Amino acid sequence: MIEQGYLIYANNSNKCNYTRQAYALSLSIKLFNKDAHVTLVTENELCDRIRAGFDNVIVPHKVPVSQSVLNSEQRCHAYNISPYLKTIVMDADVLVTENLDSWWTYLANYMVYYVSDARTYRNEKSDAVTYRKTFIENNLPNLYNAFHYFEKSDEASRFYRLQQMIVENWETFYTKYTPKKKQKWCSMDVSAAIASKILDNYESITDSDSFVNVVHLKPQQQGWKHNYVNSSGAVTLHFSDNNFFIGNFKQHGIIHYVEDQFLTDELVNNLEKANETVLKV
Amino acid sequence: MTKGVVLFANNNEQVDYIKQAIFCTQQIKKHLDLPVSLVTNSSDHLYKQYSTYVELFDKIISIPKVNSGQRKSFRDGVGPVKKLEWNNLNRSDVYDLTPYDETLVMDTDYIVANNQLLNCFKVNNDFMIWKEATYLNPHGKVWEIKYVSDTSMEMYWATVFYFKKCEKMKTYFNTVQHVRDNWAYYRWIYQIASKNYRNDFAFTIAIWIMNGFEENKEWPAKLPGTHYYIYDRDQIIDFNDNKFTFLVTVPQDQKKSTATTVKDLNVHVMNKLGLQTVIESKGI
Repeated sequence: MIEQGYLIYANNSNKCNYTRQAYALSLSIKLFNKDAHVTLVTENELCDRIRAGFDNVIVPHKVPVSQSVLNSEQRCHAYNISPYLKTIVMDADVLVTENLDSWWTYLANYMVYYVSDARTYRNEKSDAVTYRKTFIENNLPNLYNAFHYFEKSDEASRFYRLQQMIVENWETFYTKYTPKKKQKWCSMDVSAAIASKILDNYESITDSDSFVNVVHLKPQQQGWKHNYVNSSGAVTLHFSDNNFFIGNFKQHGIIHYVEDQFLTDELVNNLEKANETVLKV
Repeated sequence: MTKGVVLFANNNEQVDYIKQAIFCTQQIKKHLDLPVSLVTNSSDHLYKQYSTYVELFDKIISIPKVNSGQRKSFRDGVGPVKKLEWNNLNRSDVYDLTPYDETLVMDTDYIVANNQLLNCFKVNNDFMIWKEATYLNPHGKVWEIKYVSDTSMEMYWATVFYFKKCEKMKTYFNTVQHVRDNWAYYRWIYQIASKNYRNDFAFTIAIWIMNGFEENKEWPAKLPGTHYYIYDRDQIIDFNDNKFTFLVTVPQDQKKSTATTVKDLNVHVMNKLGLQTVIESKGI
């Protein structure tokens, strides 16, 4: 078993090329973390260009097609499928903007860790009320699956077994634990929050004042006066001289950009070029 | 190290900035006791109309009259809007224009009523400017300005700032000039709606560039005290015994207003036409 690494799930849909997003994420990880080991879990066949972005590709067991649009049936197996002792799991629509050594050091204090602090691209505390009604109305822990971490251990195993059970029986659990503003689909965020609530372990799996946070680009949590439908209609994301910028703001940490429009071909090409430079050095 | 204040006064058709500068200087002399230099394209007007006040100024720095090509809305409370020339392009030239090593730059509609700004000269910062500001209209939340634009960074107010001559500040003012000279580009990049060049925005953008496109809590430093202001939609009624009396407008029902008085506070009176009337009542 490898000591530590990154795990990304990505299955393409007719709406989005998630493996391309995962490829960009892997490039961003490797740019700032040159010894990083990255695993992609996908059902899709990959072209040589995309395949070269990963150290390891796992084809998951087929699961029955369900109503889920978020691939939860596969993602709930992350704990079992991970080839790492310590794993950072990220959504495909995420980019890493810096070296994460200090994050790994910090995360070593936890067996399971979820980000619970979402930031705007201006590095302000994000007002997530619009998108988190289910959490607020049902008093659920405010966890973000977009970036989480576990170390193989009894504690983590217990958490992820329960989460798997919730995902596999999500309608039953959602009816019991989220009667108000109940979601009509299975989401990993809500499932992780219910698992945490049942185990009463919120304090030991997150810290809302930590530097380990995520820039979340959903439009209604950016503090804008204008009611933008899409964030990509308001600001651009670009990459220059090994820095990411959103709307002329230099970014730090993790960007959860959500909208595929942000990931332009130019950005991916620039990430590829930057990685070639790193490899040569 | 020489110290002083620099004011800019470029008259337009209706606003007599020279008159404002005279009153502003009287207040500076009274509370800060600093030499004041005036940068103006209207020096003829000063010598002809206000010859008895010329000695107030340490230096008169004449600059050529250039049509700015900009027109801005001026209001006097809720009265009709006047579109007048807006000539604000040479503030970023202050590094080369100032005769002082340490300079406070002020708008002529910034009325000094205490000595707080003297503290600038007691601390070792190369640049001090306000970002946070307090609008004296308690109803006026909707008119408050926080960001350069909806999607961009928090705005610094170029109304008042302090700088010390050094290489970093030379680079800074070069950057402001670059933003000014390429305003159409920067307007587009920072999604600024107004076509007019605005010093607050250009100064903020230059700070942003100098700080590598991110917030820096260390530079520039905050000026001492608090930046208080009223808009041109509010009215100034009186300034007497160091006490301002304003009628601040209720945005939701602009026929309504509330009387507000403040004493011993420096205030940026953005209603230039109203301020002019008050100054005239002082016999200037």
